[in-house]
Amino acid sequence: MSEKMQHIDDKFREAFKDFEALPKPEILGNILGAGFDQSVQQAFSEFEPEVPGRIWEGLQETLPTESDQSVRASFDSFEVLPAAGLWAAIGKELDGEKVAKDFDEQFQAAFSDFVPAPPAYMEENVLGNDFDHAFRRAFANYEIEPSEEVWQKVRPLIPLSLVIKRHLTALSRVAAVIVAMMLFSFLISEYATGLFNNDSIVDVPTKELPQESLVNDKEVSSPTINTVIPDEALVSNTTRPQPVIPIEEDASSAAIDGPTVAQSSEGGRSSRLNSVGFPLPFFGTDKRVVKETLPVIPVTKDEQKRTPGLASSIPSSVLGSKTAQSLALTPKASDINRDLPTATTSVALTGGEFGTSKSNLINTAEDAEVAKMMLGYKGWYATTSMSVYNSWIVNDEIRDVLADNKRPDYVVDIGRSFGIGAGYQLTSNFGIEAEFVNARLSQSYRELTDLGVFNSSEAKADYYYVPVSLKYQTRRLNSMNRRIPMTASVVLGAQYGQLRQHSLRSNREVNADDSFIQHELGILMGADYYLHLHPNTYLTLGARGIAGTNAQDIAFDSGTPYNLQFGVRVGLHYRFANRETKWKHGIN
Amino acid sequence: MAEVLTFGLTQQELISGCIAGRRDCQEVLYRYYSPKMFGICLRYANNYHSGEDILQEGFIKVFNNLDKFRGDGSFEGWIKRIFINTAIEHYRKSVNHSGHSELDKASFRQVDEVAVENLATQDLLKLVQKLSPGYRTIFNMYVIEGFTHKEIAAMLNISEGTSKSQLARARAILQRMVKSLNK
Repeated sequence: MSEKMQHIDDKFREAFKDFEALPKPEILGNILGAGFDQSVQQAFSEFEPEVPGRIWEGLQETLPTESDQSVRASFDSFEVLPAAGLWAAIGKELDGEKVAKDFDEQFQAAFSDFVPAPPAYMEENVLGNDFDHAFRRAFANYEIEPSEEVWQKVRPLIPLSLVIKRHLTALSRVAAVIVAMMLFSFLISEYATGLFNNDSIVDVPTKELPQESLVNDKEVSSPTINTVIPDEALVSNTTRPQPVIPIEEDASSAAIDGPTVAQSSEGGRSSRLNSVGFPLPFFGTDKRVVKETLPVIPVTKDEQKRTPGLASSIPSSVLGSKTAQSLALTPKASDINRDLPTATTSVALTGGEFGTSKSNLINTAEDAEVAKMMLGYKGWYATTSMSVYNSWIVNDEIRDVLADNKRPDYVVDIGRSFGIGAGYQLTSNFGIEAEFVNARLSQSYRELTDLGVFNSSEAKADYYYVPVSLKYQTRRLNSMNRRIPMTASVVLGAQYGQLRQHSLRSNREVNADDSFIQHELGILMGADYYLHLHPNTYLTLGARGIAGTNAQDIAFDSGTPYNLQFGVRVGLHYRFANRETKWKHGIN
Repeated sequence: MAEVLTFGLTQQELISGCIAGRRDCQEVLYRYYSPKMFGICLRYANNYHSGEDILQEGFIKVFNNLDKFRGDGSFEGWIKRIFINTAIEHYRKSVNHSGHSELDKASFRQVDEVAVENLATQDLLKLVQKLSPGYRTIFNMYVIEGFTHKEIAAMLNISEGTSKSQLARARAILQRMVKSLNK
């Protein structure tokens, strides 16, 4: 292409660059008009859309059923005569002057109470098919006498009184908790007793004496009994030889000296005691043989004065004079309980934690002082606890939301809590304690609905509690084993609770967010029994009863909401007593 | 005026006496209602002894829950619902799906009402008892007690469709049995 032609092309392009032109209307008509419509119509000429399934289902519901058709057929020949007085009223008005004016009102008034009764054949058609109706009619008043056996089986199972039954049910739950707590306490106590006495079983030498030697009323030399041992000797861990005190014994006296002798000799593990500490009868056939012996009980001067001896309480006719003399220094059970010991057996075994050995047993004189410290401790201690309880959320608003019935059954709901805290033992008897507790409360309801089925629902609430309590504790030594301290306490206090979360379970959608107690103020009371596992560590087994209400609106009206807990509590405590504080606080 | 049931006791006196633990009231209540309730139990049971079991359980429930009767409806209706519910519990315990095999064989030919009328109630009871537990329960609940399919579905934990189909099949089986008895 020449340069000239190229130049012309460029000029044309530049000239038409922004050129826009609308087509003429007739051209558009030809393109989008009749021809277009025709082609579209032709495309849809044989188009038959299929009806969606849901539309067909909807139509089916509106189609007359057999029952509907039956009803329609029944009404085809339905004729009703107007009420008897109607024509008379109308006729009267027809003769009057106000006919045209009041006719409609008269007519409507005449039919206002008119309820035509359908004919029998129509009723049958309406109620269903004849077959169903025949069955219904057959069984409508069907009655049959059951055999007498049924009543005989039912009668013993009927509660005597529902009122009493409801109370008994609640009481039985409380009783079950108490029995379980006592059983657990007993088992732990047995375990702890074994722990404390494990190494204290001593092979006490025995000596057999002929009966004649006692019958002659011959004095039996017993230097140990009347010997007063200096106090310093009691803390010695050295083993000393054990002189033997022979005791005349026959079948009649065996049962008398049993507990004291056995307790003194073997710390409750004598072969002459049964499992609960009562003396077993003497089964020996040869009454002339003296079997039992008594270990040496070295005593201080003070204790000798304080302990008049068991023999003084036993008639001399029962015990021989020598026997009575032998028992003169044996403390009575009542004396053992009276106060803390200042002396212990001379059986020198390993010391306690505060003694010279690693053992945690209390067998030496120093151990006895440890026992005293355990009872007389004053100072700080840390505590953790776990509680299991039956909880009640007594809240009318929540109940009304969950249950249709105003008197549903309150089903037992076991809740639990965990706590951590600290306390301070102010005196040997009084202390204060504070905890931080995470607790779950729940309340289940059960009701019989109108349809005859049981409906269950439940409300749950988690709280943070801060209980502060005052504690009073008793202190004594075990009557069967003076090495075991026994402590029980009662607590009384108040607690503040903050709702953490809550939930409702029901067979319908419910909402009671505002009905739960948000800030709770309550009181608590309870009792604990202590099980000393170690001079510094002890378990408490106890019960707690707690009642709380709305802290923001304290009103003791009939509709006041309450959160209640009643159950058992196990606590593990550690007191910060070392050797120094022991002497400072525990032992005077 | 309160209805006097028997021994000069009104219904309310009878209920209060039973709640208080009066044995005489409990026996009167049992004697008064047991024939009616036993009739219901037999319809849901497959034999006489099962009916007695349901009756026994039902009365124990009644006596244990008497204090929950609110008094805003018919006492007999309340008792009846407890017995029906007890019967349903029995049905749940003894669900036997063998009844489904009868469904396909069932004839749907109509049986004249007259044919049913010709049978005594005891005969009809035997026919109903021959139904499998599922058919029998739904037939009783719908035809005799008058529950709707929606209520039946809720109480038996089934769909409404299942309730309808089982009812239709129960009817068909009964019709066939009635026809064979009338031959």
